[in-house]
Amino acid sequence: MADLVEPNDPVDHWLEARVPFLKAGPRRSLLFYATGATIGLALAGFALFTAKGTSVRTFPPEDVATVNGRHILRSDFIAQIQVESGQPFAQTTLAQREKVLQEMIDEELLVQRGLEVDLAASDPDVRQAMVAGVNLQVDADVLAQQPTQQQLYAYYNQHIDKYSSDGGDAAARPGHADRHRDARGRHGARPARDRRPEPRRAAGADHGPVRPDRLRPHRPGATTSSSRSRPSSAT
Amino acid sequence: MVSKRLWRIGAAVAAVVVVVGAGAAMVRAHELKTRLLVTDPNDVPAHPELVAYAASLARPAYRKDCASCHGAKMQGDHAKGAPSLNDKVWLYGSGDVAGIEQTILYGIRSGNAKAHNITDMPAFGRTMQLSDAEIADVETYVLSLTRHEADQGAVERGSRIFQTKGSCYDCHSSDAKGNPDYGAPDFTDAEWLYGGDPATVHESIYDGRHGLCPAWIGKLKPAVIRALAVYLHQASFAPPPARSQAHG
Repeated sequence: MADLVEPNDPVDHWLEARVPFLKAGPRRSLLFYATGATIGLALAGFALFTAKGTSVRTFPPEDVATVNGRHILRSDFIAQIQVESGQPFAQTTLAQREKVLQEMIDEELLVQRGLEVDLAASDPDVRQAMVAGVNLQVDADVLAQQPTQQQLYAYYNQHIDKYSSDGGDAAARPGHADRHRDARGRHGARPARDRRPEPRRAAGADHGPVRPDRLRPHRPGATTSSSRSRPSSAT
Repeated sequence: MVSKRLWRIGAAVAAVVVVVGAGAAMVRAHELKTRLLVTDPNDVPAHPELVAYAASLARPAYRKDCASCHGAKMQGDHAKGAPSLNDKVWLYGSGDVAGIEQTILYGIRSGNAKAHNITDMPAFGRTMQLSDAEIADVETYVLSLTRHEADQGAVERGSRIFQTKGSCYDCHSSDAKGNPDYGAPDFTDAEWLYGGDPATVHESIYDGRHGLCPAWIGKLKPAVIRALAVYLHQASFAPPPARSQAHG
Protein backbone atom coordinates (compact mmCIF):
# COMPACT_ATOMS: atom_id res chain seq x y z
CA MET A 1 0.00 0.00 0.00
CA ALA A 2 1.46 3.29 -1.10
CA ASP A 3 2.08 6.17 1.33
CA LEU A 4 -0.35 9.06 1.05
CA VAL A 5 2.47 11.54 1.54
CA GLU A 6 5.34 11.35 -0.86
CA PRO A 7 8.44 11.57 1.39
CA ASN A 8 10.60 13.12 -1.31
CA ASP A 9 8.16 15.78 -2.37
CA PRO A 10 10.31 18.92 -2.97
CA VAL A 11 7.50 21.19 -1.80
CA ASP A 12 7.38 19.34 1.50
CA HIS A 13 11.11 19.65 1.88
CA TRP A 14 10.98 23.36 1.14
CA LEU A 15 8.12 23.95 3.57
CA GLU A 16 9.55 21.83 6.37
CA ALA A 17 12.94 23.47 6.06
CA ARG A 18 11.43 26.87 6.69
CA VAL A 19 8.47 26.12 8.92
CA PRO A 20 9.15 22.98 10.96
CA PHE A 21 5.73 23.35 12.50
CA LEU A 22 4.18 22.52 9.12
CA LYS A 23 5.74 19.09 8.89
CA ALA A 24 3.71 16.79 6.67
CA GLY A 25 1.14 14.91 8.66
CA PRO A 26 -2.32 15.08 10.17
CA ARG A 27 -1.54 18.29 12.08
CA ARG A 28 -0.74 20.15 8.90
CA SER A 29 -3.79 18.77 7.20
CA LEU A 30 -5.98 19.90 10.05
CA LEU A 31 -4.40 23.34 10.07
CA PHE A 32 -4.97 23.77 6.35
CA TYR A 33 -8.49 22.50 6.74
CA ALA A 34 -9.24 24.92 9.57
CA THR A 35 -7.72 27.83 7.66
CA GLY A 36 -9.75 27.01 4.57
CA ALA A 37 -12.92 26.63 6.58
CA THR A 38 -12.33 29.96 8.32
CA ILE A 39 -11.76 31.82 5.08
CA GLY A 40 -14.75 30.11 3.48
CA LEU A 41 -17.06 30.92 6.37
CA ALA A 42 -15.84 34.51 6.49
CA LEU A 43 -16.50 34.95 2.78
CA ALA A 44 -19.90 33.33 3.09
CA GLY A 45 -20.81 35.57 6.03
CA PHE A 46 -19.62 38.67 4.20
CA ALA A 47 -21.60 37.76 1.11
CA LEU A 48 -24.68 36.94 3.16
CA PHE A 49 -24.87 40.39 4.67
CA THR A 50 -23.57 42.58 1.90
CA ALA A 51 -24.27 41.08 -1.51
CA LYS A 52 -27.02 42.87 -3.38
CA GLY A 53 -28.92 39.73 -4.21
CA THR A 54 -29.10 38.54 -0.63
CA SER A 55 -29.21 41.87 1.15
CA VAL A 56 -31.85 42.20 3.83
CA ARG A 57 -32.85 45.47 2.19
CA THR A 58 -34.48 45.77 -1.18
CA PHE A 59 -32.45 48.84 -2.06
CA PRO A 60 -29.36 50.55 -0.68
CA PRO A 61 -29.91 52.41 2.57
CA GLU A 62 -28.58 55.64 1.08
CA ASP A 63 -31.51 55.68 -1.33
CA VAL A 64 -35.07 56.56 -0.56
CA ALA A 65 -36.26 54.96 -3.79
CA THR A 66 -34.98 53.49 -6.99
CA VAL A 67 -36.76 54.15 -10.26
CA ASN A 68 -35.93 51.55 -12.88
CA GLY A 69 -32.51 51.21 -11.35
CA ARG A 70 -31.91 54.94 -10.99
CA HIS A 71 -31.30 56.03 -7.44
CA ILE A 72 -33.01 58.82 -5.54
CA LEU A 73 -30.64 59.74 -2.75
CA ARG A 74 -32.11 60.05 0.72
CA SER A 75 -30.09 63.21 1.30
CA ASP A 76 -31.56 64.77 -1.87
CA PHE A 77 -35.01 63.80 -0.68
CA ILE A 78 -34.44 65.46 2.68
CA ALA A 79 -33.02 68.59 1.08
CA GLN A 80 -35.98 68.76 -1.30
CA ILE A 81 -38.51 68.50 1.51
CA GLN A 82 -36.76 71.24 3.45
CA VAL A 83 -36.72 73.51 0.41
CA GLU A 84 -40.39 72.90 -0.38
CA SER A 85 -41.73 73.03 3.16
CA GLY A 86 -39.34 75.52 4.68
CA GLN A 87 -39.12 73.28 7.75
CA PRO A 88 -36.51 70.93 9.13
CA PHE A 89 -37.05 67.39 7.92
CA ALA A 90 -37.96 66.17 11.40
CA GLN A 91 -40.91 68.57 11.52
CA THR A 92 -42.40 67.57 8.20
CA THR A 93 -45.48 65.39 8.07
CA LEU A 94 -45.83 62.00 6.46
CA ALA A 95 -48.15 63.52 3.87
CA GLN A 96 -45.53 66.12 2.94
CA ARG A 97 -42.88 63.45 2.62
CA GLU A 98 -45.06 61.23 0.47
CA LYS A 99 -45.94 64.15 -1.77
CA VAL A 100 -42.33 65.16 -2.30
CA LEU A 101 -41.21 61.60 -2.87
CA GLN A 102 -43.96 61.06 -5.41
CA GLU A 103 -42.91 64.25 -7.20
CA MET A 104 -39.32 63.09 -7.30
CA ILE A 105 -40.31 59.67 -8.62
CA ASP A 106 -42.57 61.25 -11.24
CA GLU A 107 -39.79 63.55 -12.32
CA GLU A 108 -37.36 60.66 -12.63
CA LEU A 109 -39.88 58.71 -14.69
CA LEU A 110 -40.39 61.67 -16.99
CA VAL A 111 -36.65 62.16 -17.35
CA GLN A 112 -36.26 58.50 -18.20
CA ARG A 113 -39.02 58.80 -20.78
CA GLY A 114 -37.25 61.83 -22.18
CA LEU A 115 -34.08 59.81 -22.56
CA GLU A 116 -36.07 56.99 -24.11
CA VAL A 117 -37.48 59.20 -26.85
CA ASP A 118 -34.09 60.90 -27.18
CA LEU A 119 -35.26 64.43 -26.52
CA ALA A 120 -31.66 65.58 -26.67
CA ALA A 121 -31.67 64.85 -30.40
CA SER A 122 -34.66 67.02 -31.15
CA ASP A 123 -35.41 69.54 -28.40
CA PRO A 124 -33.24 72.66 -28.64
CA ASP A 125 -33.85 73.54 -24.99
CA VAL A 126 -32.66 70.13 -23.83
CA ARG A 127 -29.62 70.40 -26.08
CA GLN A 128 -28.87 73.87 -24.82
CA ALA A 129 -29.17 72.73 -21.21
CA MET A 130 -26.84 69.81 -21.89
CA VAL A 131 -24.31 72.04 -23.61
CA ALA A 132 -24.48 74.48 -20.72
CA GLY A 133 -24.05 71.69 -18.20
CA VAL A 134 -21.00 70.27 -19.93
CA ASN A 135 -19.50 73.73 -20.31
CA LEU A 136 -20.01 74.27 -16.61
CA GLN A 137 -18.02 71.13 -15.92
CA VAL A 138 -15.28 72.13 -18.33
CA ASP A 139 -15.01 75.53 -16.67
CA ALA A 140 -14.82 73.94 -13.25
CA ASP A 141 -12.15 71.51 -14.40
CA VAL A 142 -10.07 74.35 -15.80
CA LEU A 143 -10.42 76.44 -12.66
CA ALA A 144 -9.73 73.48 -10.39
CA GLN A 145 -6.27 73.26 -11.93
CA GLN A 146 -5.42 76.64 -10.38
CA PRO A 147 -4.22 78.20 -13.64
CA THR A 148 -1.79 81.06 -13.80
CA GLN A 149 -2.87 84.55 -14.70
CA GLN A 150 -1.54 84.11 -18.24
CA GLN A 151 -3.43 80.85 -18.68
CA LEU A 152 -6.59 82.54 -17.45
CA TYR A 153 -6.18 85.34 -19.99
CA ALA A 154 -5.58 82.79 -22.74
CA TYR A 155 -8.68 80.80 -21.75
CA TYR A 156 -10.72 83.97 -21.57
CA ASN A 157 -9.61 85.08 -25.00
CA GLN A 158 -10.37 81.68 -26.48
CA HIS A 159 -13.85 81.62 -24.99
CA ILE A 160 -14.61 85.30 -25.05
CA ASP A 161 -18.10 84.82 -26.42
CA LYS A 162 -19.06 82.93 -23.29
CA TYR A 163 -18.26 85.92 -21.13
CA SER A 164 -20.17 88.52 -23.12
CA SER A 165 -23.89 88.79 -22.66
CA ASP A 166 -26.70 91.25 -22.81
CA GLY A 167 -26.56 91.54 -19.04
CA GLY A 168 -29.85 89.76 -18.56
CA ASP A 169 -30.72 87.88 -15.44
CA ALA A 170 -28.49 84.92 -14.77
CA ALA A 171 -31.50 82.65 -14.44
CA ALA A 172 -32.34 83.30 -18.05
CA ARG A 173 -28.85 82.61 -19.34
CA PRO A 174 -27.60 79.16 -20.12
CA GLY A 175 -24.56 78.14 -18.17
CA HIS A 176 -25.54 80.03 -15.08
CA ALA A 177 -26.94 78.29 -12.07
CA ASP A 178 -30.19 79.77 -10.89
CA ARG A 179 -30.02 81.40 -7.51
CA HIS A 180 -33.30 79.76 -6.60
CA ARG A 181 -32.68 76.25 -7.70
CA ASP A 182 -34.09 73.46 -5.60
CA ALA A 183 -32.43 70.24 -4.47
CA ARG A 184 -33.23 68.55 -7.76
CA GLY A 185 -31.56 71.32 -9.66
CA ARG A 186 -34.90 72.69 -10.85
CA HIS A 187 -35.49 76.36 -11.22
CA GLY A 188 -38.05 78.46 -9.47
CA ALA A 189 -37.88 77.47 -5.83
CA ARG A 190 -36.63 80.07 -3.39
CA PRO A 191 -35.24 79.02 -0.03
CA ALA A 192 -37.98 79.61 2.46
CA ARG A 193 -35.58 80.99 5.02
CA ASP A 194 -34.42 83.64 2.61
CA ARG A 195 -36.78 86.52 3.22
CA ARG A 196 -34.42 89.14 1.94
CA PRO A 197 -35.30 91.23 -1.10
CA GLU A 198 -34.50 89.76 -4.48
CA PRO A 199 -30.88 90.59 -5.33
CA ARG A 200 -30.48 93.01 -8.16
CA ARG A 201 -28.93 92.03 -11.44
CA ALA A 202 -25.79 93.98 -10.69
CA ALA A 203 -24.82 91.67 -7.88
CA GLY A 204 -22.61 88.65 -7.94
CA ALA A 205 -22.21 86.85 -11.22
CA ASP A 206 -25.02 88.79 -12.79
CA HIS A 207 -23.02 91.74 -13.95
CA GLY A 208 -23.46 92.94 -17.45
CA PRO A 209 -21.06 92.34 -20.27
CA VAL A 210 -17.40 92.47 -19.43
CA ARG A 211 -15.32 93.96 -22.21
CA PRO A 212 -11.78 92.68 -22.20
CA ASP A 213 -10.52 95.93 -23.64
CA ARG A 214 -11.85 97.68 -20.59
CA LEU A 215 -10.30 95.28 -18.14
CA ARG A 216 -7.55 96.59 -16.00
CA PRO A 217 -4.38 94.60 -15.91
CA HIS A 218 -3.53 92.55 -12.91
CA ARG A 219 -2.12 94.69 -10.15
CA PRO A 220 1.51 93.76 -9.76
CA GLY A 221 2.32 94.77 -6.22
CA ALA A 222 -0.64 97.07 -6.04
CA THR A 223 -1.29 98.65 -2.70
CA THR A 224 -3.94 100.94 -1.38
CA SER A 225 -3.78 103.94 0.83
CA SER A 226 -5.10 101.86 3.67
CA SER A 227 -2.85 98.90 3.01
CA ARG A 228 0.12 101.17 2.81
CA SER A 229 -0.67 102.80 6.09
CA ARG A 230 -1.41 99.68 8.05
CA PRO A 231 0.51 96.53 8.74
CA SER A 232 -1.24 93.32 7.80
CA SER A 233 -3.23 91.92 10.61
CA ALA A 234 -3.21 88.33 11.59
CA THR A 235 -6.19 86.47 10.28
CA MET B 1 -2.65 11.24 22.13
CA VAL B 2 -4.77 13.24 24.52
CA SER B 3 -2.75 16.39 23.92
CA LYS B 4 -3.16 15.96 20.17
CA ARG B 5 -6.88 15.71 20.59
CA LEU B 6 -6.93 18.78 22.82
CA TRP B 7 -4.91 20.65 20.27
CA ARG B 8 -7.41 19.79 17.58
CA ILE B 9 -10.36 20.84 19.72
CA GLY B 10 -8.62 24.06 20.66
CA ALA B 11 -7.87 24.85 17.04
CA ALA B 12 -11.45 24.16 16.05
CA VAL B 13 -12.80 26.36 18.87
CA ALA B 14 -10.40 29.13 17.94
CA ALA B 15 -11.49 28.94 14.31
CA VAL B 16 -15.14 29.13 15.31
CA VAL B 17 -14.45 32.07 17.62
CA VAL B 18 -12.58 33.89 14.87
CA VAL B 19 -15.34 33.27 12.35
CA VAL B 20 -18.12 34.23 14.75
CA GLY B 21 -16.22 37.29 15.91
CA ALA B 22 -15.50 38.43 12.38
CA GLY B 23 -19.08 37.80 11.37
CA ALA B 24 -20.41 39.69 14.36
CA ALA B 25 -18.12 42.62 13.63
CA MET B 26 -19.29 42.68 10.02
CA VAL B 27 -22.92 42.51 11.05
CA ARG B 28 -22.39 45.30 13.57
CA ALA B 29 -20.60 47.47 11.02
CA HIS B 30 -23.31 46.80 8.47
CA GLU B 31 -25.99 47.68 10.97
CA LEU B 32 -24.23 50.90 11.95
CA LYS B 33 -23.72 51.86 8.33
CA THR B 34 -27.36 51.27 7.57
CA ARG B 35 -28.47 53.26 10.59
CA LEU B 36 -26.09 56.06 9.71
CA LEU B 37 -27.62 56.29 6.25
CA VAL B 38 -31.30 55.91 7.12
CA THR B 39 -31.30 58.23 10.13
CA ASP B 40 -32.28 61.83 9.55
CA PRO B 41 -28.79 63.34 9.12
CA ASN B 42 -29.53 66.11 11.58
CA ASP B 43 -30.45 63.55 14.24
CA VAL B 44 -27.22 61.57 13.92
CA PRO B 45 -25.27 63.77 16.40
CA ALA B 46 -27.73 62.69 19.08
CA HIS B 47 -26.56 59.08 18.73
CA PRO B 48 -23.04 58.67 20.15
CA GLU B 49 -22.52 55.24 18.65
CA LEU B 50 -23.29 56.60 15.18
CA VAL B 51 -21.04 59.61 15.75
CA ALA B 52 -18.20 57.28 16.75
CA TYR B 53 -18.80 55.04 13.76
CA ALA B 54 -18.96 58.06 11.45
CA ALA B 55 -15.66 59.32 12.80
CA SER B 56 -14.03 55.97 12.14
CA LEU B 57 -15.18 56.12 8.53
CA ALA B 58 -14.51 59.81 8.02
CA ARG B 59 -11.01 60.21 9.48
CA PRO B 60 -9.15 58.35 6.73
CA ALA B 61 -11.33 59.91 4.04
CA TYR B 62 -10.67 63.39 5.42
CA ARG B 63 -6.93 62.78 5.51
CA LYS B 64 -6.96 61.46 1.95
CA ASP B 65 -9.35 63.84 0.21
CA CYS B 66 -9.99 66.95 2.29
CA ALA B 67 -6.86 67.75 4.27
CA SER B 68 -4.91 68.91 1.22
CA CYS B 69 -7.08 72.04 1.06
CA HIS B 70 -8.70 72.37 4.48
CA GLY B 71 -5.63 71.34 6.45
CA ALA B 72 -4.81 68.34 8.58
CA LYS B 73 -6.39 70.06 11.57
CA MET B 74 -9.25 71.56 9.60
CA GLN B 75 -7.69 74.97 10.02
CA GLY B 76 -8.32 75.97 6.41
CA ASP B 77 -5.97 77.70 4.01
CA HIS B 78 -6.26 81.38 3.16
CA ALA B 79 -4.08 80.97 0.07
CA LYS B 80 -6.60 78.54 -1.42
CA GLY B 81 -9.68 80.19 -0.01
CA ALA B 82 -10.44 76.95 1.81
CA PRO B 83 -12.38 77.71 4.96
CA SER B 84 -11.53 76.32 8.34
CA LEU B 85 -13.96 73.59 9.28
CA ASN B 86 -13.53 73.56 13.03
CA ASP B 87 -15.16 76.86 13.85
CA LYS B 88 -18.87 77.56 13.96
CA VAL B 89 -18.87 79.68 10.83
CA TRP B 90 -20.41 78.12 7.72
CA LEU B 91 -20.55 79.89 4.39
CA TYR B 92 -23.44 77.83 3.06
CA GLY B 93 -26.41 76.95 5.22
CA SER B 94 -26.37 76.77 8.98
CA GLY B 95 -23.80 74.02 9.32
CA ASP B 96 -26.32 71.28 9.99
CA VAL B 97 -25.36 67.77 8.91
CA ALA B 98 -27.81 67.69 6.00
CA GLY B 99 -26.44 70.94 4.61
CA ILE B 100 -22.83 69.85 4.97
CA GLU B 101 -23.66 66.58 3.26
CA GLN B 102 -25.17 68.39 0.28
CA THR B 103 -22.03 70.49 -0.04
CA ILE B 104 -19.80 67.41 0.04
CA LEU B 105 -22.03 65.57 -2.42
CA TYR B 106 -22.22 68.29 -5.05
CA GLY B 107 -19.47 70.73 -4.18
CA ILE B 108 -19.13 74.46 -4.69
CA ARG B 109 -18.83 75.69 -8.30
CA SER B 110 -17.75 72.14 -9.05
CA GLY B 111 -19.41 71.83 -12.43
CA ASN B 112 -22.11 69.61 -10.96
CA ALA B 113 -25.53 71.07 -11.74
CA LYS B 114 -26.55 70.71 -8.10
CA ALA B 115 -23.46 72.43 -6.72
CA HIS B 116 -23.60 75.69 -4.81
CA ASN B 117 -23.10 78.02 -7.73
CA ILE B 118 -25.37 80.99 -7.35
CA THR B 119 -22.86 83.75 -7.72
CA ASP B 120 -19.21 84.75 -7.67
CA MET B 121 -17.50 87.62 -5.97
CA PRO B 122 -17.24 90.10 -8.86
CA ALA B 123 -13.98 91.76 -9.84
CA PHE B 124 -15.04 95.32 -9.07
CA GLY B 125 -11.67 96.83 -9.81
CA ARG B 126 -10.71 94.88 -12.87
CA THR B 127 -14.05 95.55 -14.53
CA MET B 128 -13.87 99.22 -13.50
CA GLN B 129 -17.13 99.14 -11.65
CA LEU B 130 -15.40 100.83 -8.74
CA SER B 131 -12.42 103.14 -8.79
CA ASP B 132 -9.31 102.48 -6.76
CA ALA B 133 -10.38 105.10 -4.22
CA GLU B 134 -13.83 103.57 -3.90
CA ILE B 135 -12.35 100.11 -3.42
CA ALA B 136 -10.08 101.47 -0.73
CA ASP B 137 -13.08 103.00 1.04
CA VAL B 138 -15.08 99.78 0.86
CA GLU B 139 -12.07 97.89 2.14
CA THR B 140 -11.75 100.29 5.06
CA TYR B 141 -15.45 99.95 5.83
CA VAL B 142 -15.34 96.16 5.73
CA LEU B 143 -12.33 96.07 8.02
CA SER B 144 -13.95 98.56 10.39
CA LEU B 145 -16.62 96.00 11.18
CA THR B 146 -14.17 93.90 13.14
CA ARG B 147 -11.52 96.38 14.21
CA HIS B 148 -10.96 100.08 14.78
CA GLU B 149 -10.37 102.16 11.70
CA ALA B 150 -9.07 105.67 12.26
CA ASP B 151 -10.32 107.13 9.01
CA GLN B 152 -13.99 107.52 9.77
CA GLY B 153 -14.52 109.44 6.58
CA ALA B 154 -13.37 106.43 4.57
CA VAL B 155 -15.56 104.17 6.69
CA GLU B 156 -18.62 106.29 5.94
CA ARG B 157 -17.84 106.54 2.25
CA GLY B 158 -17.21 102.82 2.09
CA SER B 159 -20.46 102.07 3.86
CA ARG B 160 -22.32 104.21 1.34
CA ILE B 161 -20.72 102.42 -1.60
CA PHE B 162 -21.42 99.07 0.07
CA GLN B 163 -25.11 99.94 0.28
CA THR B 164 -25.50 101.66 -3.08
CA LYS B 165 -23.10 101.77 -6.02
CA GLY B 166 -21.18 98.63 -5.19
CA SER B 167 -24.39 96.75 -4.37
CA CYS B 168 -22.33 94.66 -1.96
CA TYR B 169 -25.39 94.46 0.27
CA ASP B 170 -27.05 92.36 -2.40
CA CYS B 171 -25.10 89.28 -1.39
CA HIS B 172 -23.48 90.28 1.89
CA SER B 173 -26.70 91.81 3.29
CA SER B 174 -27.28 95.37 4.45
CA ASP B 175 -25.93 94.51 7.88
CA ALA B 176 -22.85 92.89 6.30
CA LYS B 177 -23.64 89.62 8.04
CA GLY B 178 -23.50 87.69 4.80
CA ASN B 179 -25.99 85.33 3.25
CA PRO B 180 -25.69 81.56 3.68
CA ASP B 181 -27.90 80.97 0.65
CA TYR B 182 -25.31 82.57 -1.60
CA GLY B 183 -22.21 81.60 0.36
CA ALA B 184 -21.52 85.29 0.94
CA PRO B 185 -19.26 85.69 3.99
CA ASP B 186 -20.15 87.56 7.14
CA PHE B 187 -17.88 90.58 7.64
CA THR B 188 -18.83 91.09 11.27
CA ASP B 189 -17.07 88.00 12.58
CA ALA B 190 -13.34 87.47 12.83
CA GLU B 191 -13.24 84.69 10.26
CA TRP B 192 -11.73 85.41 6.86
CA LEU B 193 -11.83 83.08 3.91
CA TYR B 194 -8.84 84.56 2.13
CA GLY B 195 -7.33 86.58 4.94
CA GLY B 196 -8.41 89.76 6.70
CA ASP B 197 -5.36 91.92 6.07
CA PRO B 198 -5.97 95.08 4.01
CA ALA B 199 -4.07 93.89 0.96
CA THR B 200 -6.04 90.65 0.76
CA VAL B 201 -9.39 92.35 1.27
CA HIS B 202 -8.43 94.84 -1.42
CA GLU B 203 -7.49 91.99 -3.74
CA SER B 204 -10.83 90.29 -3.13
CA ILE B 205 -12.71 93.43 -4.14
CA TYR B 206 -10.43 94.30 -7.06
CA ASP B 207 -9.99 90.84 -8.61
CA GLY B 208 -13.04 89.00 -7.32
CA ARG B 209 -13.12 85.45 -5.99
CA HIS B 210 -14.23 82.11 -7.33
CA GLY B 211 -13.78 79.46 -4.65
CA LEU B 212 -14.13 75.82 -5.57
CA CYS B 213 -14.89 72.57 -3.80
CA PRO B 214 -15.16 69.34 -5.80
CA ALA B 215 -18.31 67.23 -5.93
CA TRP B 216 -17.64 63.95 -4.18
CA ILE B 217 -20.70 62.06 -5.33
CA GLY B 218 -19.53 59.04 -7.27
CA LYS B 219 -16.01 59.40 -5.88
CA LEU B 220 -16.76 58.55 -2.26
CA LYS B 221 -19.31 56.04 -1.02
CA PRO B 222 -22.57 57.50 0.31
CA ALA B 223 -21.81 56.22 3.80
CA VAL B 224 -18.42 57.93 3.77
CA ILE B 225 -19.97 61.19 2.59
CA ARG B 226 -22.58 61.04 5.35
CA ALA B 227 -19.84 60.15 7.84
CA LEU B 228 -17.76 63.13 6.72
CA ALA B 229 -20.74 65.42 7.17
CA VAL B 230 -21.26 64.16 10.70
CA TYR B 231 -17.54 64.34 11.43
CA LEU B 232 -17.26 67.95 10.26
CA HIS B 233 -20.41 68.93 12.12
CA GLN B 234 -18.95 67.47 15.28
CA ALA B 235 -15.67 69.28 14.72
CA SER B 236 -17.61 72.50 14.39
CA PHE B 237 -20.24 72.22 17.07
CA ALA B 238 -19.39 69.49 19.57
CA PRO B 239 -19.51 69.64 22.47
CA PRO B 240 -22.38 69.72 23.06
CA PRO B 241 -23.68 67.59 20.19
CA ALA B 242 -26.69 69.75 19.58
CA ARG B 243 -28.37 71.04 16.46
CA SER B 244 -27.40 74.60 17.22
CA GLN B 245 -27.71 77.26 14.54
CA ALA B 246 -24.75 79.31 13.49
CA HIS B 247 -24.55 82.20 11.14
CA GLY B 248 -23.22 81.60 7.70
